Amino acid sequence: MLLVFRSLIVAVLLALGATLWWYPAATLVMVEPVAWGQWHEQQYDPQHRSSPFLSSSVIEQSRQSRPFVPMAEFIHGQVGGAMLEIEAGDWSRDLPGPEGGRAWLAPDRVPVTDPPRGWLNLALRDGEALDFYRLQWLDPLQRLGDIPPALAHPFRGVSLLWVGLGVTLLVMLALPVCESPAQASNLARGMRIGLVLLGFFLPLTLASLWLSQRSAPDAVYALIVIGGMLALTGLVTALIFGRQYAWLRRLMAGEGLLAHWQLAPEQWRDFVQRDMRRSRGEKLARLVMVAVMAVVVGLGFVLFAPDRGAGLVVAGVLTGMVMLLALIVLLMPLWTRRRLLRALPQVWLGPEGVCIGHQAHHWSGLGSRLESARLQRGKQGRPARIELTYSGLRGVSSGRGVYFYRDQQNVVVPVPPDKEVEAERVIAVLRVGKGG
Amino acid sequence: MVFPTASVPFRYLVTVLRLAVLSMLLLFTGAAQAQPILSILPESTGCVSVLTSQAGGLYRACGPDWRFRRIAGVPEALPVALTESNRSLILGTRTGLYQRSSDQAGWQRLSDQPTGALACHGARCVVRPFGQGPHRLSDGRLSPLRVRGLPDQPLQQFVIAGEGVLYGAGMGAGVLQLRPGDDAWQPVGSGLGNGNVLALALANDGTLHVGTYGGGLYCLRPGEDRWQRLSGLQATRVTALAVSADGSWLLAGVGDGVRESRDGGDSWREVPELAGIPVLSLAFDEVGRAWAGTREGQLYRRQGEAWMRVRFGDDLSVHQVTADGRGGLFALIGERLYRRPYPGADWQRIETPFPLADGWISLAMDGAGRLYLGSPRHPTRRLDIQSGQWPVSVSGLPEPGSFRVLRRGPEGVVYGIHADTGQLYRLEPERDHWTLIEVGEARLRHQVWDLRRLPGEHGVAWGPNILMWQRPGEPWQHNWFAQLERGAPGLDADRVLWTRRQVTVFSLAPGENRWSDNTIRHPLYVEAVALADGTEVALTGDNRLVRLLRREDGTWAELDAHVPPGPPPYTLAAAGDRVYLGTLDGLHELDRVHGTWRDITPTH
Repeated sequence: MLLVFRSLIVAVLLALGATLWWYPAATLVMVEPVAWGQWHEQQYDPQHRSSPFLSSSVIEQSRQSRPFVPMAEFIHGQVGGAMLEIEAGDWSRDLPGPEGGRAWLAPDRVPVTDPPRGWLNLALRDGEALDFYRLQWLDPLQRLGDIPPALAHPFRGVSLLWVGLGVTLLVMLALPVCESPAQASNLARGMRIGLVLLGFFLPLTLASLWLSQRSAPDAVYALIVIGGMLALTGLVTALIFGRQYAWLRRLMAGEGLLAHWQLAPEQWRDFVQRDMRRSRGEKLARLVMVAVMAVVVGLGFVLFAPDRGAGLVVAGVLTGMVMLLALIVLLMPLWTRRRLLRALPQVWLGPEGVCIGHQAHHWSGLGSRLESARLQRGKQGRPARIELTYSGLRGVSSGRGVYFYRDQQNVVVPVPPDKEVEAERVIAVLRVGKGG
Repeated sequence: MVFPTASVPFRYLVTVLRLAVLSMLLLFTGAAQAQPILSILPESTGCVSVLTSQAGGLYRACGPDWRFRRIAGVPEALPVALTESNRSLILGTRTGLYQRSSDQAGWQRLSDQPTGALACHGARCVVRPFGQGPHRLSDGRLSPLRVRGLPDQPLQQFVIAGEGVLYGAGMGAGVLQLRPGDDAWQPVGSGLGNGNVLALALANDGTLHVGTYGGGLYCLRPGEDRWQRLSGLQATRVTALAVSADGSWLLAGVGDGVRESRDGGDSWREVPELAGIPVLSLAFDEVGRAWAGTREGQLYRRQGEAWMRVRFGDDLSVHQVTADGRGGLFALIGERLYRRPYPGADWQRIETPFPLADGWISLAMDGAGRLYLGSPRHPTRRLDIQSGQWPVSVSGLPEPGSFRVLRRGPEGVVYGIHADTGQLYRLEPERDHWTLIEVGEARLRHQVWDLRRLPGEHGVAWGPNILMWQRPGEPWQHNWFAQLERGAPGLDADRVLWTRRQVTVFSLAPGENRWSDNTIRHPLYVEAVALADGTEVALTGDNRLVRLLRREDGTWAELDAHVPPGPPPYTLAAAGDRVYLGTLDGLHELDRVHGTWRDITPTH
């Protein structure tokens, strides 16, 4: 059980760490020095304004429509008659000079609270001198790139938090694990992957939802959608594989067990090798079919598409897809063989499914059924084997709706040399179970 | 049957109509906007020029009456700065630099670069175009001063000392100087605690004064190298500054008023007449008289020991003038109503029952010489000359509402345009009753903007989508147009009515009842008054004033023409054989014998 939930806890810890590392401060004060002279100048000299693309007609229109106002009136108009004058102090030491750039301050460092409209114009008095600033209370989410990280992400400075998270993570990863055959199965692995997805993306999605109440950037909304989908995928995966994992645990505990065979190492190796070849052969056949279709479609695009360049792109994408599938077809059986060779050379057979080593097949789920079961006696002194075929419902969505079809899987179960009679009895039970 | 909810949409309709009318009025009447006074220039001639921020807003007056008038022919560009060099006026605008010599009437364009700052002393001038450094202006040509040391912040104030030293200052730039022959700007003195300089002034003895934003007022006396803060001035924001020639009398605009010192800056007092008024410009003229110009476009002059407001700009704008049959004249000028009982008499100011400040007030006098005063916010009043009272004249007018425009139309009839619905009413003076002139149900597109009397007792009233007209002896007729132009329709010498809709021109000849596309003919008479000798005086669409004689076939012949004495908009009136024309800056009477104009603007 610990093995299962360890995945979940580690994922949650990682998600929590990522969220806290990035989580932005609630409000920061952006301080910009105001050079009134230059600003005033820019109002009446459109060529020197920010956009270099102003047309001469726009400049001329500005010259003919914007009456000149003297500097004092310009300031009066810009600040709406309200400029707060504050004496310089410790808080203002780090402020940029009149020619300097932008600075950010935590709100509690600024001796002004609740400014009207979220910003104010400030005149900072230092003796007879007066420097001008514009202070803006901002949600830093929109300007994370401009803000020093230590200010933008306040949790990064909480050392105790990171030490605690690190220690917890190390403890979880260092816990001794004793894998039972069920826990080592592909069903347990699927369930763990589902839980990791759920545990990592659910907290991220919830944090993004929380942040979306603020002026969040688009990436936060993207994270809500993608993270939410992945969390949901993880939940569904964990539920499906969890149910099958529970069945496997019951089967291995003897509940509904029709046969439990121990195979000799030689027979197991021979079986694994042959099973790999069979599996690869089946997959190759499908690959060839897909490749032929891809060639036909790709050639069609190259030859007949009105846009030849686009046709070549489609053909290129199809070729890449076929190559990727070929790689999977070549590597997947090898990986399965490797896993099976490391597994216990045992077979558990039940009316709802079979587990060969670490590889379990379950056909009593929603829409799945056993199609056929037969005993194939060995030739030339080779051991017999049970050939099972089961199918599951698969859905394909298209523009007009969702179409379902049956996807058949062939499973070969090795039978120890002295267990052929028992195998016949098992097949009889399976056939009865499936109604035939 | 009226459903209980019917009043709600009606209220919405009325509100929408009211908003539409108000917004159109703003556009149509060009509601008076404040013209901040950018600078006051005492000229070497003893006259004073005043520059406002409005295009063409350059005024000039000379003593002793100090009657300000617009200077004719000023470039229609937004002004920035004004100065004088060797009896020539130099005007810096947002679209160029102009010069008018004292012996020339026209303005010569010296440069097409927008002017940011300008200063002259004798023949020496410095100009700083926006976005550039200072330039020397010599013989009408600009050449950049190729010297180092310009600060990052632009220099916005310049003064040139007699010996040719150029001082420059600006917000955040402090004060710099450039001596003749130097190749770099140098800071002036030390100890200037605040570099946000808004105002710069030089006394005759060489004392330099600077007004700063936040630091108050500083001065640097000749021979000293350290600025002294004039701490007697409590205010720290000095936005305008003037120093008398001897340096003893200082005026400082402090944002909400003016402070003055008569002892060179040691002690200060508030100028009570200017308390709370934002003053943008201050100056001393050649005889040491002080002037102040405000953000709201008001001009003040020191008269003896008190400041008095000088009538200027909008104060002299004649909104309406109307005459009675006995030679009496009423004029709505600025925010005041005046009466002159007979030609040559003194003007009397007439108290009105409500303030005339919103610029939408109108006057009309009926055939019996009764004066009516209209306002969109107040019921229409009629003046009782004997008692000076203004009884309400609202009979027949649907409540609520009033007239935003009163006009005297053909045959001496007074018309009113309802402030909310834009409908046209006719006054029946004997019953003191207003009668609606029906053109259908009141809708937004039925609104009438204005009404004019045209030659030969023709009348036109028009709105954005309607044109109403009346020919002599006939009732009012109307026609719907889409998006009529705002300008008044006109009548040509052949009694053809004309109106314009964007690129299309329509005309209606006498005896016809259908408007047709046509090519416009000139001149068009857009307003006319009748004279006692049977001739008429009409304003043309191209702003001429012509006297018309009616031929036997009913067409009109032009007898003589006159150029109006001031800028538009114009308002026209006649009494007997006297013709009066109100312009943007005064009221004038036409001397028909000499063909000249006589300024009869009330000066009080």
